[in-house]
Amino acid sequence: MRILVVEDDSKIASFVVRGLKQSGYAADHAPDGETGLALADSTDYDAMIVDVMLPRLDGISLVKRLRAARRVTPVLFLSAKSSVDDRIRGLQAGGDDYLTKPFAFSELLARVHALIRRASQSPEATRLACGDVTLDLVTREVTRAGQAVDLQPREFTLLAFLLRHAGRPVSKTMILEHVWDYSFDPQTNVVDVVISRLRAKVDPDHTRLETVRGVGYVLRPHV
Amino acid sequence: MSELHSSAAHPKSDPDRLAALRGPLSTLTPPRTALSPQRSALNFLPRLRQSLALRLAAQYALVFALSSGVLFGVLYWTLAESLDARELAGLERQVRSLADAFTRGAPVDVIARVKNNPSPEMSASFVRLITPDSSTFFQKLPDDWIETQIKSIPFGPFTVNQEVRTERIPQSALRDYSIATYQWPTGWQLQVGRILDSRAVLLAPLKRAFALVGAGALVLSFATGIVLAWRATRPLRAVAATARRILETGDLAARVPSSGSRGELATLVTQLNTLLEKNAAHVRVLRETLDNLAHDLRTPLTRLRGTAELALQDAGDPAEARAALADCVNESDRVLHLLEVLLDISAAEAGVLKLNRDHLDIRTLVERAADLYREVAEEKDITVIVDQPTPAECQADAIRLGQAINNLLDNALKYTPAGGTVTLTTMIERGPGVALVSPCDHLVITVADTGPGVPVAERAAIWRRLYRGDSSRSQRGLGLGLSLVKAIVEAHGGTVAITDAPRAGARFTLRLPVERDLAPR
Repeated sequence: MRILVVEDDSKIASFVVRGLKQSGYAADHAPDGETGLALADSTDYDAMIVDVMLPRLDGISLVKRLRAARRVTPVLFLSAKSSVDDRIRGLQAGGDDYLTKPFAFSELLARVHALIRRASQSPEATRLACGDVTLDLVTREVTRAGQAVDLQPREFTLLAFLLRHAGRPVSKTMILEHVWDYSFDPQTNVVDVVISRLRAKVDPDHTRLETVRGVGYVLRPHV
Repeated sequence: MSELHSSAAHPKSDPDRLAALRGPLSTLTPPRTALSPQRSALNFLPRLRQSLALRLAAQYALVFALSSGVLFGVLYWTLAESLDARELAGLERQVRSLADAFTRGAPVDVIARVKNNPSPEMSASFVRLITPDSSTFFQKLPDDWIETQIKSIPFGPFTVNQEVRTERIPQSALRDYSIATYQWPTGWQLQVGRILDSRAVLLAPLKRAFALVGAGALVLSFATGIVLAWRATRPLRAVAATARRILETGDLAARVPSSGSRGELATLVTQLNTLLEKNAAHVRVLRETLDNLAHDLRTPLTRLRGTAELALQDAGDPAEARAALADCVNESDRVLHLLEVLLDISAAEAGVLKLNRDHLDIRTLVERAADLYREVAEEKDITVIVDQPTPAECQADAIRLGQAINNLLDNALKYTPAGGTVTLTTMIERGPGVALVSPCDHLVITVADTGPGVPVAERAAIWRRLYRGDSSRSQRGLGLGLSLVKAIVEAHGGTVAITDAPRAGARFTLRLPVERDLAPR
């Protein structure tokens, strides 16, 4: 898995590249848009992380050119602007996801991972599992340690999302996006509330659904 | 704790930092530099030449001169032509009557007739009888004719057979000879000439008068033109002077003095003043925002710094260090969120919040809010009642207004005790009037809870940013939720209000204007 990071801020770029390498990805770095485009043209990347504001060729134009050349490499935009307009602009230009600076690296990693999985189009199993927790997307049956668990619709969606990202922390923003379909953070504690309800049902002994302080939540197999 | 105190002591240097923050604004306002007299004198001539008033007046005068010149030219030409035609006709009559005498009698009769005719017409005329062999048979000169001039008058034959031919012989600018020649078939020719003095007598004074009066009128019109144009362009100069004053002194309160007149330039002045007013308001809001931001960020940043400093000192326990780091991350998220909300509120208050207005049914926003908080309400055992019987359509930014409704619901759920009820209603309030849809229609969203309510004394204050009532100190939050609601609703042209709910508790009411053509029919 090879990922291209197009980012002009060397500090951010180095911590992203280092983090990606630690997570088992190969990562290349381009400090400006033109270098990024040249690299993307010559190498087949599995995903690209592109800053919107770049010297010489901005991120939006870079991705537009890439898409014009019929390259479908999934792209995650990084931007310091959080307004909905900028987000929409990035997605319309051909980006697949959008992350606002400052961001948690774990969130970046989870999003990149989701992009690569979506792009590789591996058919999703109808049964998700992590340790002793299983979830069937078709029959909507959930079990913990072989016992059936009765979940509310939102708890079910949240558990499915956590199972898909099992082992990797997901942020509240990602949960709001995928479970509540909110593209911005409404700044409420609703996620905490549903997490704690879910925890009471599938993780009464607090060994599976862990809170990662400052980042979000991670679902781990029960040991 | 001592570290916290020491970092709290830092604000002493803050005025400098604030000044640094304001830097970009201050650089817009360089110290006033007075124009030296020499410089203004040097500038005066080119400026005068470029003066709009002067150019307008000069162009106006030029047009005036050209058109009156053309007018006079036509008049002069017509007059001269008709005068000439009259004189030549007279001359022709004279030569014919003399020729009649010659035809009936002999040349001597003609001479006798000429000599015995005492009329002033005859005495002012030149008469010459020319023999067929082109020698002068008889010649009479008026007193004021000069012999040499006569030599230049050509002999005929100009025409054949009793034709009269009149000829102008230019002599000087004003005095032309006009010669009428009668020729008989025998070859004899009779010439009668006269000085055409109509130009000298009538047209020359006319020309002189015109030149004098025309020049006078030209000067007068130029002068009046300058005065009028100068007066008319006074608002323009006032605008320029105000702009210069703002640029030179940075005095944002400077306004163009109103001349009290009407018209395009007065409109320009009014509009420019409105523009300046708005700009000044924006700059003021910007400064206030910066001040507030600096103030509001200080507390969480101090806390952040304190946590980090503390963790650095206790280098022992990695678990504690991790906990401190996580606290730092949380605190920085909080700062970031605070910053974003404050910027949104400031933008909305300054009227620069970008609203993506769509025609939407507000009921979906309310339902979405209720859905978002379903679990929260369930946890607290609060019943959320949504009562919106009729469509409630208006033009609004779905995300922003949704945010406002979410915040109100969040607020209501926070203060309602377990077992309570929160009621959300949406309706169209018909304005007065018989029309089906009146421009006074309002869309009214209310959020009523069964909590403790808000004391009357606190009601005005709850909309202030970062205000936290006594009862809210124990609750999570930044004290920005309601300020954001107010800012968003007011950016939509609406109002917010708080009253007592029917069954104790507080009732928040949002009223948004409904455009006439968009109201439900």
